[in-house]
Amino acid sequence: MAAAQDFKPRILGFLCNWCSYAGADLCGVSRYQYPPSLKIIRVMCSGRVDLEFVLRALARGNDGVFIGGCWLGECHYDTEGNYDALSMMHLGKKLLEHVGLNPERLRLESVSASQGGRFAEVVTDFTGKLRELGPVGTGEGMDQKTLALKLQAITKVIPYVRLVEREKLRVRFPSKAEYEEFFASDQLKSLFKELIADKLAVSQIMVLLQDRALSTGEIAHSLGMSPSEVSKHLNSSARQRLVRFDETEKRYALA
Amino acid sequence: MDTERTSNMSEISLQIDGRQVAATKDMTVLEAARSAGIAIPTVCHNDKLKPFGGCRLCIVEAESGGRTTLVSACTYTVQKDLVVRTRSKQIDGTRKMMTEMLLAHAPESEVLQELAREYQADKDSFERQASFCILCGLCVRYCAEIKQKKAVAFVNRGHNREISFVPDIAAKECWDCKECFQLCPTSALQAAYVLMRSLTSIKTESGEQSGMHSVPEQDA
Repeated sequence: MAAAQDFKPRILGFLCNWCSYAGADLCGVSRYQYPPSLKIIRVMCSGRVDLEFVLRALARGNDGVFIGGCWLGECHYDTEGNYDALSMMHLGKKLLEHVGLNPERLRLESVSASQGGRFAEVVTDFTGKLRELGPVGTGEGMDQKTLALKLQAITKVIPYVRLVEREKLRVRFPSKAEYEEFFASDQLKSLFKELIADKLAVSQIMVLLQDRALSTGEIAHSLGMSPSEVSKHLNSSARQRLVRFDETEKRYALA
Repeated sequence: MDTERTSNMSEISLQIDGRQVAATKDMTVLEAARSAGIAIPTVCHNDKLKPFGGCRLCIVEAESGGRTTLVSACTYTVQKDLVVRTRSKQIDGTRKMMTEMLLAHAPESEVLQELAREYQADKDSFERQASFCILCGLCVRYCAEIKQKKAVAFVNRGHNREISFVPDIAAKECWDCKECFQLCPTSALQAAYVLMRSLTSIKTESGEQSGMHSVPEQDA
């Protein structure tokens, strides 16, 4: 990634009130040094962080999103929101990766209230990583318009993704390694492909068609998909009357 | 239903689980059984709707003229001297299998979990399916038969079959109705609705404006 030397990443951090926020506080009090790249929003629990927050943060020009929560098993609530946050993070990474954004822009770390030093380390490391990756969008070779389109397309399907998550992907494992394993499994890959990937592709096409009617080739070119794939999605969307084929213009338009 | 009709002409007597049950000639086995207080499990059946025979859970043994066949009680009309058995080893086995196949789609569905307890069905005996619609058609039929709007329909065929809202009709009709939502044994219907609504929403200067309805949501 050919990022400019003077690139300063912007990170938005969501910190749990009980662990990470207190950890960040301790970090300051103990005078540990870390790059001034992080803006912090305090939440009562890392489980409060929704996928939509992450996407909005990226759409507003943040280069990375950081979520700080308690260590597993140490959530201060009976509902144990940090496990939900972990699931959300993995799902978010999948979605970002699917539209061509680097999943490493989203990071979740456990930092307890006593780990001021660790907080500084984590932020320094994340900032360094983002400096390598470059600015959001540009680092992935997308222009600003494409980036906005991709993020808007994901945001659109988030309410649906929440339902899918509740019905099909709600898991709870005792360790982080098991979450990694589950989210890298073939079972999850096929579920993701059949339930989310296709809808996400349709969503991108619908966002693209908002501006004007386009041909299959033009859509394929703009979204970096193959024309046959686009054609498949257009056919199914036309059947569901989401899009229509404009006979006179020979282009697809929103229905 | 026609259970109260007492025209002597059309009275038919049949045997269900060893009991004599009186029925009228256009009743189904399911209606006759329920009128006599005999329970037969169903998923796709709704008293307000026409019989569909989609879920096959109401399967029973029907014996007439010395031949026994497995039939779906909700679509099979009563006959004179029909002998019906609602539980047997074969029936329980079939229902167990049906429940397991449905559970592969919707393991969290309460209706199915209850059936699973009754028939000792294992929700993991089949590979998990991606789609969580069990194609009971309750929403589609309710919208077509009761509301007569056809805002939700089946699309595609075979294993690609799924339910889908028709955007231009749903935009006008669904916002104030949503009566079909409570019929859905899974959350597939809700997911289909949410997906269609968010896909058809248009981004405006002041934020997301849904194309589905003219009234903005409370949180918009």
